[in-house]
Amino acid sequence: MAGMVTDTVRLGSGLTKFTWSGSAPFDVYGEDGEALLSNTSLTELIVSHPDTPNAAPMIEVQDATAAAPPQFVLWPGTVALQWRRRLGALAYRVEQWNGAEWVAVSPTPIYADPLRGYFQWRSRVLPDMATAQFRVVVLDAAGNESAADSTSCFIARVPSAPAVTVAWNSSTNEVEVS
Amino acid sequence: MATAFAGRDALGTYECGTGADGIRTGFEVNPQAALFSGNMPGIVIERISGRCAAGIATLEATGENSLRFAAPGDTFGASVTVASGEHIVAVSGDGVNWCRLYREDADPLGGTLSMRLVTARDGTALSNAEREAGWERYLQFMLYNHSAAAVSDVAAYIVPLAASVESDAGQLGASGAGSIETTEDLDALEWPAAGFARIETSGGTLREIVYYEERTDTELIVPTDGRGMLGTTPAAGSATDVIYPVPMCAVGVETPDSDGKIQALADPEDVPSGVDFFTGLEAADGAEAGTVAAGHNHGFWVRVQVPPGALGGRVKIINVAVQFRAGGTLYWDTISGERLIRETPGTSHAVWIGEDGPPDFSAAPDAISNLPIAIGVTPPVSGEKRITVCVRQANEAVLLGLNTEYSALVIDSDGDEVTREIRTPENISLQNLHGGYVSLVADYLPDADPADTWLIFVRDDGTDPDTGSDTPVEVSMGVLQGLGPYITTSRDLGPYDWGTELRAIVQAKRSIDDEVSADSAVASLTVATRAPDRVHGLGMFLKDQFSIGGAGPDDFELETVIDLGDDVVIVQKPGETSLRVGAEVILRVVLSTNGDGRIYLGEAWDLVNDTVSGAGSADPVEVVSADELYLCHSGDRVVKIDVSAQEIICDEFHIWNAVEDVPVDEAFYQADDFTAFQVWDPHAGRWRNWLQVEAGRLVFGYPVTQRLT
Repeated sequence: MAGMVTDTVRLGSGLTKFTWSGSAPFDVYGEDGEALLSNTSLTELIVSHPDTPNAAPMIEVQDATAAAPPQFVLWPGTVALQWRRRLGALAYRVEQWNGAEWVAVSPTPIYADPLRGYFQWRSRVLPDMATAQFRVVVLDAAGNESAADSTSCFIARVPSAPAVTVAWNSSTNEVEVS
Repeated sequence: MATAFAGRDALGTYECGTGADGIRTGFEVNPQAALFSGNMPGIVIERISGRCAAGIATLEATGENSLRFAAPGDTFGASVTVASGEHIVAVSGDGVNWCRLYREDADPLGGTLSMRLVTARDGTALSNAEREAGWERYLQFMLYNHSAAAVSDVAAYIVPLAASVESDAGQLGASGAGSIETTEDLDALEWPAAGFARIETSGGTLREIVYYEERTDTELIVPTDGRGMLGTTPAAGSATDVIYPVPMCAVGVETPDSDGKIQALADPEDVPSGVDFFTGLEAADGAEAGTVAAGHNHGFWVRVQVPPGALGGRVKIINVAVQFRAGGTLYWDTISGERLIRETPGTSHAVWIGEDGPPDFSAAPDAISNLPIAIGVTPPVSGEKRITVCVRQANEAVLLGLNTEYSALVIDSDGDEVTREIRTPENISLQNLHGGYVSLVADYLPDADPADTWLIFVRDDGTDPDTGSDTPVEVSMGVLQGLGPYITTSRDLGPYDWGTELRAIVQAKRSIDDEVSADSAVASLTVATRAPDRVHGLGMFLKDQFSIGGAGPDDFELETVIDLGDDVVIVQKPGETSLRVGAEVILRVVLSTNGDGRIYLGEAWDLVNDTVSGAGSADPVEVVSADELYLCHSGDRVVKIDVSAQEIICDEFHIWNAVEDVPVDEAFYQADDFTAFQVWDPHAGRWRNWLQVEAGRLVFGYPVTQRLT
């Protein structure tokens, strides 16, 4: 892959600095498939991210010689829900099945702007190799809620960093990954 | 304007009911899925022609009741008028691509609706087990003539996925595995990485359909299980054969019964009866349905096949054309779709090793294997070597991670791992801020492999933190900045109660290997500030009575008498406290509404400077007799009150001096350095220190007035 990350330094909790090389201009993509930088000559970027174990952030750099589309764009790992407006709706609530119950994906329902014809909601990057299930509930001003059909999608995306242990074996002079 | 449900829009493809239905549902298959941006609220997009290229199509209002459409990469077609409640077809500039839309209401049209066209993908995935065993399904649809006139020459056929090539450099044998080679550039022609290939003779006759599991720029690798796909028979190829990349499907049609229904399959794996399937690339070689009358159905089948052992990944399983003639004009459109095939990766992880630098991801990984993985590294001849390790994993979509963060370890020339110690934080201090807050400051001099996180341990019970068991607050050190070499943290803690005994220890941690420094020295502090006073004068008035507002003794009496014995009392009232012996007032403090106060001393009394010493009581007031009292601090006599002589005796007197602010709700407070006598301030809802006894001196917190009473 043309355009290569050459160093990754965690600056502190929730901040990581990436440095890359290649032939400018560069396009840099995040895991959700969105461009972080486009047509740039910059060669480094600091990314903010959740500071949790194995949440090592990833970027994908494409330089001027890149031939194939970026993997993060082909396999973004997010889903976009889109639905047609419902007349009489006050708001829409997007829910996700967590394996046991339907849970609202955000505390605030999406306002049913009467001047909009279509509504969209985009998820965060979802767990890899798993089925994600969503539904949209219509809420009216009287507090009624609609029934809702659910839709599901099997998520396949670029894998995250694995949870492994790296150790040194001084007896065999080997790096051991388990 | 093109009329909806006529001409190019005369024939639609609909889903069929599942199970025993065999009927057409009301769900039309839309060849293109689109994500909308922009806004044209009254317009509903019903269908976009499948022949549109990927990209962004645009609908643009040209007037309050008109609009126009442009397919991706094309110019706008003619403007069309659409009324409320009307369906219309808007055609793009090339006259080929189009969209059908419906106008919901009469609100004036305006704005633009952008439609990003995306390839439809089945929301499910083939499992690894299904892939290994091979998978075949028969999907049923219904072609429906929703126009007012019959359509003829209805047919379905396969659409290649890329341009064809000749097998002029190598051909398959009569059976078994092999390869097809060409002198053309398959990569430049954008052939799929794996999939079906249709082999035709130079005369256009189908020779065989194969599955190739891999391709190079010039070669298709065909496994044994990839021979004879979709009912074809393995046959030896020829150098003049023409090879097409095709989807993994064949098409068929079925004439419905008098009720417009076709057969239903109990199981999608079942083979439909009496349906022939075709893989031809033209209508004449496809599944021909002939004429479909207005308002009538015709069954449409798609046979999908995945050979045993096919590679995992996303594959285009359907790419078919449906043609028909309406009003003398031949139209055709395409339907396509992808499916994910899961494959348990043969090797699950890839490892890159860097030596004295980050891993080089432009090079091949140092190991590709399932876990556990062991990679030998040569220790340095002398000194130390820093080893960086990055591990990526593969998933069943045959994707390898793109993470680049690495872990690090250091080895010496003996091959032993070196623990790079981290310098201990220095100059740790705690300082009082306002309102019970405390500032913690510490410095860290960065190591060659520096720490990046502060670990802050704090206890508020006067005991030293135990870094082995206490839970620290973790704070990022951030990027090294500033004028000096140190990284400094300055962090506000609290708020704490006045008098809290704080102890703090700071460590530095390096996240890359969780190495932690030794403990810093212990910083200690007694909190000497408190939260601001509440507002003055707050209270509720009930008729003529003033009710004390805010916190304070809920049951504060109008007068409280503390009997110290021998007729010595302290009388407490809201805003007033006095020390008396019998009827004689020795000292009295009175507060005003704004918190100021005045201390009254009897006219005949004197303040006498003289040393008072000796052991006293542990209590603030020691009553020896009705004539001899002492004010004490820490068990020592500091002030003598000679009642008969009317003298208050002490080494030093400080009039109207600052006394300690004691936010304790008690009449007396004993600290290490002083003993406070307090008066209840009803306006502020708190006690106030008015008289303070310290070693060798008496401090009056308010001005002193001598008067007769």
